[in-house]
Amino acid sequence: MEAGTPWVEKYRPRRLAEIAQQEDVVRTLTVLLSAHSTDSGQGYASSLPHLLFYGPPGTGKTSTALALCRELFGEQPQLWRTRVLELNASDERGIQVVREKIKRFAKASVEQAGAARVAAFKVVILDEADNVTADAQTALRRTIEKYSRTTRFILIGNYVSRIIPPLASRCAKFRFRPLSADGMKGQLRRVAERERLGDLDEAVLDVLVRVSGGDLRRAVMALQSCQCSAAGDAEAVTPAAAMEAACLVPPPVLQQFLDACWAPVSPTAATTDQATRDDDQQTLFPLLLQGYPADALLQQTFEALVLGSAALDDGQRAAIAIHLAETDKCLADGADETLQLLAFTQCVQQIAAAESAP
Amino acid sequence: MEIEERHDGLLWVDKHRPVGLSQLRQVHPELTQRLERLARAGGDLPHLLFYGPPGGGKRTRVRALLREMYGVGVEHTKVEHRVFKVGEPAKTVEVTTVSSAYHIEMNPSDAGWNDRLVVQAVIKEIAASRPLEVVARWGATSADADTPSSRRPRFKVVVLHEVDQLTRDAQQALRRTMEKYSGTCRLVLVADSPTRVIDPLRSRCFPVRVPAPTVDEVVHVLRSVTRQEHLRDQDVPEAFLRKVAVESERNLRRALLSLEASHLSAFPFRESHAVSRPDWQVVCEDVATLIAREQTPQALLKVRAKYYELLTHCIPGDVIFKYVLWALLRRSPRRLAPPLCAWAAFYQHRLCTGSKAILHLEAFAAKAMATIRAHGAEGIAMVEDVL
Repeated sequence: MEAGTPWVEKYRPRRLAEIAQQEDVVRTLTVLLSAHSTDSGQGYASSLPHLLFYGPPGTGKTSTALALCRELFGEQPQLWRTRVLELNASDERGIQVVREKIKRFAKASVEQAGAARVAAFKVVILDEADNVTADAQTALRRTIEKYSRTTRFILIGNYVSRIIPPLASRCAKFRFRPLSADGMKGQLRRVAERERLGDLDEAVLDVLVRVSGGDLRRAVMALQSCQCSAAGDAEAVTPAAAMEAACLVPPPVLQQFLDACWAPVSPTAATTDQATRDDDQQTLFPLLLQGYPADALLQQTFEALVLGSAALDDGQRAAIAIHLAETDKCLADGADETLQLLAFTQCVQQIAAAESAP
Repeated sequence: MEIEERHDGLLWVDKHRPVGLSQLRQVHPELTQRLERLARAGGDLPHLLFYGPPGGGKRTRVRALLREMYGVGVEHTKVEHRVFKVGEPAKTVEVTTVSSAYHIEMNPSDAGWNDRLVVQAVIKEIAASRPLEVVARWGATSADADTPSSRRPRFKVVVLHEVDQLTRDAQQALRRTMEKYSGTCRLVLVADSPTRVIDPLRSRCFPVRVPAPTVDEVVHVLRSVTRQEHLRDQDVPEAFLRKVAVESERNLRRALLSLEASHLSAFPFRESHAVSRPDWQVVCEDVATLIAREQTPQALLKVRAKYYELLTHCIPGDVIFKYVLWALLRRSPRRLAPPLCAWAAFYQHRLCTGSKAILHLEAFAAKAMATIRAHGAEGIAMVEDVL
């Protein structure tokens, strides 16, 4: 690895044993690998089934697949070129490709490599397989079975439900769990140590772990981002910097937004006073002009209002949660952020006011 | 002097666009410092995601950062209109690229529904090869390690504009590309709002938030531009600049354009001068006035005429929604604000999932009228009161 690769690539685990936290997966795979390696009748690792890795992003699916291939074929690039076909969403993967490219690759017979610990089959890694169209997946069914003597498939996806059942049933399924907070901290400390960052502030680690929600890649990326903007100044790696690096809204700004939500609406005041009427716009616009992402704002509002606020009763929280979900959906569809957030704040105001009335 | 002649005939916005990070100290100084540190990090530069409201200086900062990293070489750019044949069955895709020896800029969403193909074929092709100069330097000894050219990073930079406009498919296609070719290239993504950038991409990038400049900062920039244009300070009152800044919603591009427009129409500036407003804003105000004054089918027809006028002048539907709503809120009592906002948000959402802007705009106008009516004589009276 040359210098200057992002840390997430630099510290991507190379061997199965280095995969963090996914003990069950690693143990099973190791067993599968060693099962026949001493048995003279069959080739190394020949009992390996087709595999399906699924789980949330940043839990090590792609890394495991690549590490497994390394166990199977060693490090020689020559061998990799003929034995491993890696296809991901950046490649064209329509039904045409499945019919031609994958089939042609799978069909070819394998020459026996001299070394004992080289598997006598090829591997197709279908990364982000849940984005492959259903048609193309259907076309894969027979291919997988027919050429299983020469080719093993590794399908990788976030959602197992988007892999069609006939395909999923042909594979051994492995679920990748989100990393635990402690495991994540351990990994972050390891990276920090190798990058000679010195001791990381516990508070910073907490923030990184919390914002990444079990996604190690995101945490490592955020750590590097902090480091980049701090440029060697250990003092500058603060929880606030970590928040910024993770695209989150800092607490004071969030408070402003919540205040906008709480702005008292008195049902009797039919005020025509210009100042009060523009209030919401006055607080909301500067907030948006600072460029904070609307979805992070909503997510954090959810944590603050629905999960954390004691001032609301259950009905109100439920109502707010529904509105949050609707706003989020609209944003995901590409609706205008200003309009959506303005409507949302007004809604919360009404919900909050409804409580004080009776 | 010489430089100014070369730039003659350019708009002020382009003429006075800062080129280096050192010129960006007036606005967001702490952000500029961060970028300087990033530029110095050189080889360790992560992928970047610039985001923030329009007119805040995202593009300017990207260019300045590149210049800081690679030197003046990045300014020797050429604009190419390239045609690619990609995919199976082959489709022809056209993209306009701006490139130098070190970087390439493009707007993949220009390709419309085919943007995924651009990402898959074009960007991958660019990403997979090293910049020429780097290849040439490969064998060089470390003797000249301190010359500026060897401190240049060994990768090239692909700048993608308006990433938030990319389809989901195209964004998905970027995921592995970003990881796989991280040795040879870095991506710099530019977006107005990160909300529409999918999570897997965001988690691969170092986010750089570029907020809109504050009113003071806008005023400061405007002042320095007028000085460079040799306008005397007493002809450009502070209060007027402030008005321009507020009126343009702290969008620096708009502020400069409107300042230049005002300069052409009325100079020297007086404090009392009205800031020249774009015509479409005035029309939006008219629409709101129509809705607030009379809630009848006849009024709706008049509103429709106005809407068509706006749309034929290529004002996007969501902009019309916003400005009509603001104008309506200014004209109506506070009690009407929640329903009006909610309906505007509702129909604007419909608009972005639908296709014909006029239908949704009209539906909103009708709904707004109904809302005012629903509050009965009192609601109407209140509206008239404000008028």
